[in-house]
Amino acid sequence: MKTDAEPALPGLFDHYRADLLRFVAARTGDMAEAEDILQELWLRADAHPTAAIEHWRAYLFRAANNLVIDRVRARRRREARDREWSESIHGASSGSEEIADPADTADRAIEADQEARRLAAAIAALPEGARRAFELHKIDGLSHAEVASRLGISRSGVEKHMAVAMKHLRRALAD
Amino acid sequence: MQERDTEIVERAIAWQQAIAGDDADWTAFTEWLEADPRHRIAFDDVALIDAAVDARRDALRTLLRPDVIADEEENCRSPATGRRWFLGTGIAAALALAVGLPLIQSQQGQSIAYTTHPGATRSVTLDDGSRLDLSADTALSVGPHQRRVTLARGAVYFDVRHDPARQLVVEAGGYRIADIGTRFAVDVAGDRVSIAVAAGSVTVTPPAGDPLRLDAGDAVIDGGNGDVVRASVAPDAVAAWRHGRLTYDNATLAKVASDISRYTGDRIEVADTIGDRRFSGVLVIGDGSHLVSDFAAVAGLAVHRGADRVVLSPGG
Repeated sequence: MKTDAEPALPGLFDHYRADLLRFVAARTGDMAEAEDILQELWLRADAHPTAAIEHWRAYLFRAANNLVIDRVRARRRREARDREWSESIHGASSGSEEIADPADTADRAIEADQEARRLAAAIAALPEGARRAFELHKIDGLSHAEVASRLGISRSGVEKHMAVAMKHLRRALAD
Repeated sequence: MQERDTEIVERAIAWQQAIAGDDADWTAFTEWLEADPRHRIAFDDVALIDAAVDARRDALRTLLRPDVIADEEENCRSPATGRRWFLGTGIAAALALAVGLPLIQSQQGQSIAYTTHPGATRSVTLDDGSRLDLSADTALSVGPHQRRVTLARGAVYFDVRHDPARQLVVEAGGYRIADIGTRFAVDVAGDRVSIAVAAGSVTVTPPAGDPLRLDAGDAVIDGGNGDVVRASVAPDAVAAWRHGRLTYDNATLAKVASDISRYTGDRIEVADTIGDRRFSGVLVIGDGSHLVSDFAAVAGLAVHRGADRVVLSPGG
């Protein structure tokens, strides 16, 4: 018998369901997909042990957000893969590299490698201050406060660097 | 409300940082996402880059700092000061040429639709500072890379920065408008299309026919039934709706009625017998409630309000 000291996650999920659905619909722009994602979130929430989570609402929203990101990422890669594949079929491909067969797992590894290289090139091209802050935070895992201390700047200085970095990366990585 | 792309991206980045905390305002975040489809798209870009970097962290560490010794105890250099040897042209160039799957389909890679309800107007600002003023009951879409605008219905006033490297093309009712560096207006109502230039010049290619050039004060009016006329228009009169007025110079009653519909939300029709009668004059839009009665009074028409439409007929 569960103690009443820890609220059950499924119960909380119901409590926040309407807000979560609205959020996910706003994130995806698609109500049907939002319902689908909520369903998946529910299944995962049900399976998750009710360990002491301090901030339930934030936890659920972050989990929902991560699910949206996973799906968008998977979809974009699938679309790009299909696009490359059909371009190769129609002879429109300009590169000389072989086109990955969407189903081949070895090609997934190549894909991952290519993505890493592309990211690395974009990060290497960042303005110096932004690059240093970005690498310390995202690659080395330092918090904003730690980055600020390491670079001898303020926290808001770090946040500005991160914003500059993201703007450059977005431009560099768009198709 | 006009919002530049860079402002949107900065907000998206700010939200990305904000939701990492435990006391993030998810409701406010939801409202921001709902406010404009561009917000959601920009946030997707930012979130995807973040996710990709997280996913490839180990590979990135190797690629970005190949000279950092794996054994931390032997490494007396901090990672922040490691040499960046691969910035030499050879390796950097090789990395830059690494063709991979596009990481993100940025906002520039998608079409975005903008619509207005009857009686409402809005402005859209493109990346390059060009501005589109949308009239009421208007629907248009801005294509990938913001190079093409397609007007499905309604009226739009364009104030476009001339950039030879980035040609804007407008498509409306089968007409193609290009070579733009200027201020001009396009109006689509059913089969009727009109294009008028307030400043600068454009090249207009009709659905069937040779391209023609319109300079400031020129207009092309396609009545939709085969008659296409060129006309002169005072630059101030171009898209007068932006200043709360509808101005007509020998326009058909049917055209005026169709325009009024955009502001009233009702279907306004003109009796068949007088549809082609001409009207010249200025109507004040106001809040839209007097448009029909004002028009009827000036044009000498009777107003019959039906269940789902208003019909204007001779007399009155």
